[in-house]
Amino acid sequence: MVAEVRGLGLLNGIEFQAPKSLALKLSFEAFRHIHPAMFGQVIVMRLFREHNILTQICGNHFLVLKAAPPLVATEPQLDQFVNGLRDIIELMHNGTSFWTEALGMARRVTGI
Amino acid sequence: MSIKDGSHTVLVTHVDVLICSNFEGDECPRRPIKPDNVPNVAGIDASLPILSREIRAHPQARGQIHNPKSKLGANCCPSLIRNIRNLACLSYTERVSLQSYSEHVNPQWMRLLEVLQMNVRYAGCQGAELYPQSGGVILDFLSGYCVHNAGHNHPRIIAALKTNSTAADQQCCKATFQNLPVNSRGVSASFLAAGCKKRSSAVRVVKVSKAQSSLPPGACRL
Repeated sequence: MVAEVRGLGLLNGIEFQAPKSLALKLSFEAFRHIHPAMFGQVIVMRLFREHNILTQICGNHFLVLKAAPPLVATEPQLDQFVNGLRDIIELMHNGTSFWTEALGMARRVTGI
Repeated sequence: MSIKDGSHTVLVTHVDVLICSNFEGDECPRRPIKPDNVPNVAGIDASLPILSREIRAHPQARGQIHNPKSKLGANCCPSLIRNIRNLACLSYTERVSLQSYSEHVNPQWMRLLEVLQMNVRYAGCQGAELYPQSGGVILDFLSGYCVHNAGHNHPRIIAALKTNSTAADQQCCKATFQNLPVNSRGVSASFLAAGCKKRSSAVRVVKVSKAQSSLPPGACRL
């Protein structure tokens, strides 16, 4: 799911890629079909709502999540981000709610 | 501007500035928000035609618009009620500002924030933390797209600005601030609010880091 983590200091990008499992890949592609940025924005939304962390994805590469805390960020704050992102990635693999809730949201937006 | 700290030099590219003035741009008082008080859809639509696009497009809102007597029932869609309440708690100035932002700056961004439920209004910020008006703490791992390298409202930067700003800076900044739309003051539209302590009395001053050793004209008053 995670292709690469790039960066220097506290300016980092976490690049995601299509999952290997067929079931997950179907959901992933469905997201991409609805909107190329949807997968990344769902991660951003979950980080914000469930883990109280504000992030954004890159404008020129929708599968890269930016992690750019200020230089005064503390170790517990960095841990909170890592743990939050880990929870979300585990949710992608272990549950259906990550995918189904997002599809529900897309349905509401598009009025399908 | 750079601030030297022993062997380290922090290049300040962005500062959040608080203005002492209690400038209040609101032309009308805030409406009280109560859990069981769902405002009239028609009122929202009339005062904020752009942002209420999602409200107007909502199936449950159809037929209610422009009907002064209409009220949404208790079985109304939660997202519709939330959208309406979010708008209802804004002052007149904020609505106009948000409308201008949607019209002239980035309509898709406003819509995205609504969809993601991230259109939070902030009361303040310090270091890596943002404080929503609704309570709680949000960790800022975006740093205003990497301009808050020193964190929000760093005390040493604030102190340096207080020392360096002149009376002319203060006057110019105050005038600039009063002419800015609310969103430019870093106010209501979520991330833009990151730099504010008080919504209508704060201004975000962006400093370009090109070897400017002093404050630009109108930079700030603290």
